[in-house]
Amino acid sequence: MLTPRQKTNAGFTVALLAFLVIGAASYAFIDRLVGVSVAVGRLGEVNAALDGLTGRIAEAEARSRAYVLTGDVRQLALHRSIVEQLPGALQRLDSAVADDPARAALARRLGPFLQRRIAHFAATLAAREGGARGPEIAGLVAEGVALTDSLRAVTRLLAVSRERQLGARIAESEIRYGWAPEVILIATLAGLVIVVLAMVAVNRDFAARARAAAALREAEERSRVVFNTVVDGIIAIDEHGVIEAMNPAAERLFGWREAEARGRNVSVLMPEPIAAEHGGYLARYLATGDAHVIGRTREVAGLRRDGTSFTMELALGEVRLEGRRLFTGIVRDVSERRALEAGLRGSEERYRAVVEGLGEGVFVQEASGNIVEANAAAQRILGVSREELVGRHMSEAPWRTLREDGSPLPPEERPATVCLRTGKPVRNAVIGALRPDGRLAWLLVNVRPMTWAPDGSPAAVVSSFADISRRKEAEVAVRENQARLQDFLDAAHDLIVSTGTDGRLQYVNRAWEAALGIRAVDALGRNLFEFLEPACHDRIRAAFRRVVAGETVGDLEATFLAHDGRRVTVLGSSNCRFEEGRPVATRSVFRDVSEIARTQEALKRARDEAERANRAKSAFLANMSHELRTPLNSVIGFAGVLLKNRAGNLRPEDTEFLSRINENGKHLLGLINSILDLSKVEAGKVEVEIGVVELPRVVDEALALVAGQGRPGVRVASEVPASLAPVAGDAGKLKQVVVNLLGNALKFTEAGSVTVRVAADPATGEPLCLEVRDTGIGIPADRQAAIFEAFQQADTSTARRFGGTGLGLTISKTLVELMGYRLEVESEEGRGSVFRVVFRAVSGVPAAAAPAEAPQGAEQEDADLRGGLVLVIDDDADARELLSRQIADLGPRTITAASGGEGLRLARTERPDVVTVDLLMPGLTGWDVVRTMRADPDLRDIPAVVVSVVARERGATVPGAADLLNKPVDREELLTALRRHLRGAARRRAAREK
Amino acid sequence: VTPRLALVEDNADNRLLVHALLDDRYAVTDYETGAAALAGIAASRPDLVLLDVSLPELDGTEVLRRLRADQVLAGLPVVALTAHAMAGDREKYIALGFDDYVAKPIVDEQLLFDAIARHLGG
Repeated sequence: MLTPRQKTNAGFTVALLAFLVIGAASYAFIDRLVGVSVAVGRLGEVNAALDGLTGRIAEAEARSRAYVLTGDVRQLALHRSIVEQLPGALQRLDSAVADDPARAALARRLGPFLQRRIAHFAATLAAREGGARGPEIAGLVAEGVALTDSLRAVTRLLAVSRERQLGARIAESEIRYGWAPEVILIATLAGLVIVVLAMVAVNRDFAARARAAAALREAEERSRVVFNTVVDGIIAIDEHGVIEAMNPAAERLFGWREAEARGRNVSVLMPEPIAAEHGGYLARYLATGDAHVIGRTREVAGLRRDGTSFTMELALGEVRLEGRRLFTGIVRDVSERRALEAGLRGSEERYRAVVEGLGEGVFVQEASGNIVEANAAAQRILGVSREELVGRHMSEAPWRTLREDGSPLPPEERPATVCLRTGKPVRNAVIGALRPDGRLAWLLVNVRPMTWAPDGSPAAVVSSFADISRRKEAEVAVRENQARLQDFLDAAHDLIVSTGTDGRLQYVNRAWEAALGIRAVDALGRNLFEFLEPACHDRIRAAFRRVVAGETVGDLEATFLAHDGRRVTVLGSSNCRFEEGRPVATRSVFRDVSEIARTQEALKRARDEAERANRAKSAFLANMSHELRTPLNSVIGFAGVLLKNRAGNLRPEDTEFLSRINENGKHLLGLINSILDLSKVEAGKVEVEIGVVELPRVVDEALALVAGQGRPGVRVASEVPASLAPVAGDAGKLKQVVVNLLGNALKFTEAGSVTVRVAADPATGEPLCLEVRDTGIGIPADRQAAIFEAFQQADTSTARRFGGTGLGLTISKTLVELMGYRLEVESEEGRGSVFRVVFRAVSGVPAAAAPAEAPQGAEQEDADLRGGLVLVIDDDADARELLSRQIADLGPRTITAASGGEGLRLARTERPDVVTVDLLMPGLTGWDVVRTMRADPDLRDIPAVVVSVVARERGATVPGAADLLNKPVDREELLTALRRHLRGAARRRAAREK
Repeated sequence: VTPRLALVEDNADNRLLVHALLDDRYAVTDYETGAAALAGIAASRPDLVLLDVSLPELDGTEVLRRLRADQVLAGLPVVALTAHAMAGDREKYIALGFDDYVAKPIVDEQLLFDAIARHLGG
């Protein structure tokens, strides 16, 4: 696009060209016309020159003749003046024809002719003057006239040519004149167009100039107004630092009137030392052009006229104007702002310190989601560094958020995000933050908008959050505790009741509801006694008074009346909760013993019945034994008497028959004895009396009893260690067993040997087992289990071949087990058998086989066991006896107590290492015993092992029980428990002895 | 001098058997009841008493008790000869004060001879 200036130039160029063309055309045309006109003019000139020349020649002729004729000297003078004009006239002719070569040549030829004429004139005149007259003169005159004629001829030539030329010129001019109107019209039109264009252009230019001038004026006005009204001070100085202008703001600022300040150095506006240095700065700038201050805003000190200084913001500018350099300074008093800023800074620092010091986490999040600020607590609570927080987008946050219920909290539901979206504060939101270190922090979050965007939405929100993990954990713990207690209460089979001190029910558990068929909602608030059988009111009331007085009442028996009128007998204990020394509520735990009472009654009846039956059975057995033996006495006795054949009158076959009678009688007796023994054993009527048994003696006696029973050639031997500790057992029963085993061995061994052997712990001499080994027929593997059953021999043919009742092993096994030991068999058919009474197993290895390899730890443990004393508390005699024997079998000594009370008494006097206690006992129950022991400083350290048929189910309700063992007691479990507690006891003993 | 034995036994067969066994060595006097025995023993002062336990009316243990209660007869050896021969019976009767115990049926008469001889020595 062309600028107006270019357009204008282009316009002028076009106009110029047009003018040139038109001018050239017009010039050429007019030149022609002028040429024609000049040519015409020149023809006139030539003619005039010719005429002047010829006229003068003719004049001179005439004058000369007149003088000649008259001698009048005046004529002569005239003639001479004309002759003098002739060269000039010739000259004029020459010049008039100069442009026409042909005529110029003619004109040149004219010159000599004229010279000769002029000379002839002179000669004629001179002759006249000399007196010649007449003819001579006449000749001369004639000659002169001839010359004049020649001249005339030449001039005539010139004139002819002239006329021809003139005709051609005029014809040409006429042609040109024909063109002239068009040319002039076109030229005029072109001139008009150009003039119009020029006018338009010039007008436009004028308008633009007018606008520019107006704008300039306006700008000037504006600048002036700005200059005068701007709040910033403006000072202009020249390159020497002299003030040239100050605006009113600067006047106000510095307290100088512009008029006063003008001409002074600007340093008057500066305090020392800046004022002194300013000239140097300026000079250096001017010299070096180091313009680092130009165009920059700085804060410098200013000086008012009254001598006070202030902080101002100074921006310097430079102007080059008409070769001069001016500097403008724009200054603003920022003292107040600085003061304000300082105040703000202080305030912000305080605020920042407060925020940093807050225990609550604080962070500021912008609408973009960027976290722009976070305090130390926020970093600590969230477990992230400042770098991980500040400047990061919320979505980059290295922690994950959870709802209060533990489910993930989506980012759009985070409180800060919600607040940003809604513009409303979020109060007391509880969220979980799963920190980068894996810890879960629970936060109580408050968010409120901090700044607002122009559209009214929050531009930034501030979140503050407290770490409530502890509180939360505590809440959870309390809740869990409550739930646990509630579960316990709900799960308890015992009736749990709480009343106020006025006896009104405050709480009953489900068991209470179930036992009485009364719902808690119907019972609470009513008096406890409404639910108690009137017969027990006095007793309970007395107990209630004791409880409210602070006593814990145990063994409290009460009878509730159920919904349907049933009587529910309960036994339990009750105490009272005190707050600040005042009774608040009673707590009672009752066991519904109705069922137990009924069961006990039934059991007692059954036991009585059984005992009666048993007594009857015993009596029957005893009678039968007696009655069977009595006739046998005669059979065997008389047969024996007859066999002696005193009279000597019996035939040999008679004595043989008598011998048969005698033998069969004895066999029958043996059968009867065994059957009765077995009956007694199985009726539980055999009582083993556990005492100290010296095994060598038992073996010797047994060997003596079987002496002679063996077949000839069968060697009978015994291997009994010299130093042998005694075992616990019933010597008579043990001997019976050994005799039985020896009898069997001898019976079934036809050749070889029968050996009785006792194996003992080499370290302690403690017997491990007693075995009877034979080289007899052996027992097939598939019969080995059956031989212990009554009337089972390995083979029916065996009985025929070897005799025997088949009851011996059954009885032996039973007796061994009654003593708490074990009878086992090893046998190989055709090679022999080993029957072994195992007193103590060592680590599952057959005791006789590897006593020496018994591990040291086990020995130590067993030493612990042997050293221990165990108190067995059980109301049931058989259970007590059995457990006592089982324990003794494992090593410890035992003492027994038939009731809780006796047990506690014995515990205090005997100081056992371990107490085993039954739970379900009349009077003091196992619970009571354990509780009492735990409360007694003397007994507190003694482990109490609960041994009960309900140990597993109810054991958890015995706080302080060291172990729980179910009846019937598993030997291994018992061993484990005893080892555990006796080891501790051994340590305590060792510690005491030190 | 043949020692004199008192046999207290209600069963005739048994009496006969004892006689068959002992008549060679001892003078045996029979009593069928406890009462008769107490009276006879007090009168005849035998050297030893073989006393059955299961006797009608006054049984053997009562007879023994009365003998022991009698100042004169308290030292008299009394051997229980009884068919009460179940496990523990021997001990029971010894504990009751019998000097010895022989179970019926008498499988081996030597046991009887030994028992008697033991208590006649002094």
